[in-house]
Amino acid sequence: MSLLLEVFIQNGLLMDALGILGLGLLGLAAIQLAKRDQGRGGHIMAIGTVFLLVARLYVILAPHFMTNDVLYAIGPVGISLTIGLPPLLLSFGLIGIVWGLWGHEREVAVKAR
Amino acid sequence: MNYLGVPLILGSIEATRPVFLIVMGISLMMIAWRFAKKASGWSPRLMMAGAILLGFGYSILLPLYEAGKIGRYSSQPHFHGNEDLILAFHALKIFTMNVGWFLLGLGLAIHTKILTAPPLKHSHPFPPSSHEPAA
Repeated sequence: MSLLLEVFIQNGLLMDALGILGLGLLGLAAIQLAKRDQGRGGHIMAIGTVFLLVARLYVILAPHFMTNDVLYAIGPVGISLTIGLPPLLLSFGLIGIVWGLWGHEREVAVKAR
Repeated sequence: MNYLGVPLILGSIEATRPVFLIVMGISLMMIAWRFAKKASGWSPRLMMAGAILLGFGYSILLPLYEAGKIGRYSSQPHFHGNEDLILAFHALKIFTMNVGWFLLGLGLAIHTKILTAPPLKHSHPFPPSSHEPAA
């Protein structure tokens, strides 16, 4: 495997950074939309973005600190949470972003009418 | 994130999750299209590029992964299947999802003008009679 592929695909450094950066920008833009238009869509979008950010950070960081000792320390309930929460957060984050974008777009359309 | 070999049950029912992903991907593209129609400049282009990438990723790539049509990549040297194909799809997935979110976020950020400085609110600009340096 070439070095470039190893750095950017296997470790995913640049791409992960781009994704996190984009989600951060999306969250800031959602908050700005919520502030400017006083609608619910921006808020929902911001919450969804935060969900996605948390899940994505966990997915990126988990291999670095989730050792067997940590897994033993948090017990079965904690392990269930680490398995169950990230898909939930990813799903609800995506729902939040799509729903918020739609809601904001509709609010703007209703206001313009 | 499957540490113990336990199947993912909570929040990802096998049959509904691909459908959910497809619906979300397509609606994200459509909403971004309606959003971008009313904008001008570079923000709608960036936004649409991101939304198309994300739509492709969410409605085609991730369901294929969920359906098991593409093998999952792992950094361990031993995994089954066509290694090059798995690596190529892994690279495509990483690129699509991350650059998609980046472009969508950047487009929306430019659209909401959080990246540009707000206009100065000085109603009286500084007096132009400043030929000698202020001591």
